Amino acid sequence: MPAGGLDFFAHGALPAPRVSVAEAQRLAGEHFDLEATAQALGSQQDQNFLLRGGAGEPLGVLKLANRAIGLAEIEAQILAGKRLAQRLAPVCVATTLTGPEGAPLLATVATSEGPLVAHVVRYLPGSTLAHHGYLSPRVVSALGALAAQVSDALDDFTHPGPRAHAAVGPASR
Amino acid sequence: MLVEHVPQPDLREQLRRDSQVAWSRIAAVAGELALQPGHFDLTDENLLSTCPHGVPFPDGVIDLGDLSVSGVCPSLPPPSPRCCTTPAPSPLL
Repeated sequence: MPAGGLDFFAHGALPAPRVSVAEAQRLAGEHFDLEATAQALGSQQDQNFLLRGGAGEPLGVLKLANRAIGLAEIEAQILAGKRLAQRLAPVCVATTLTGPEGAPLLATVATSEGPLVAHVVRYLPGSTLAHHGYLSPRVVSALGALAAQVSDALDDFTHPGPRAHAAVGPASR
Repeated sequence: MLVEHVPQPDLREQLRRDSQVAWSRIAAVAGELALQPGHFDLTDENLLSTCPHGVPFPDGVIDLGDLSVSGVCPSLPPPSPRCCTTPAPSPLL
């Protein structure tokens, strides 16, 4: 896989975009035709908003990628998510939603923080395992098995987006 | 990357030295390590239990934001059965 994209080690901490809820709602409407109420979700390097429709139903999660991340990397994430959903079923994967013509809800959008890559992923019900506090050995074992399944499913994934970096890591700094 | 957040100066320096030694060992064989794409952030923050009731069970995957290419676990010492693409051989076999 050719080099390109983001080296997490070289960048260190990546401050996430800080777009307002009102702006997120405007972006969802203008670029993805989603009339929604946005709710800020916790995020580290990206900024995430849960989008809800008029009846409060979840429509998806608007993700505004860190400004250090480009379109090719998000395209790779979209394809990897699609592959995981296909290979890991019935495991649910937060795949990128598609529009009426089947194209992913993906766009480079002008924001108050400059141009950012935005996409809308499927909202998954439930809660993160971190939310549950104590995890029994059986659950931790299942977590490990799922991690292995994900690794297997991505084994032969190829896309020019992500780059190899961790094998050389801080030595390249 | 996180070592700057360790408050004790002695421990911070020790960790920095240890990580440099560890990375130098990896760098020496980096060209021979098998690489593969991976999620690389499969923590309890990115694995969901989608069933609202009962015992939690990991059946949902979110956030491919750290999708990257890195070493295949069995190539890296010490191998961990939980994250390996191929299961570690059982000591009973």
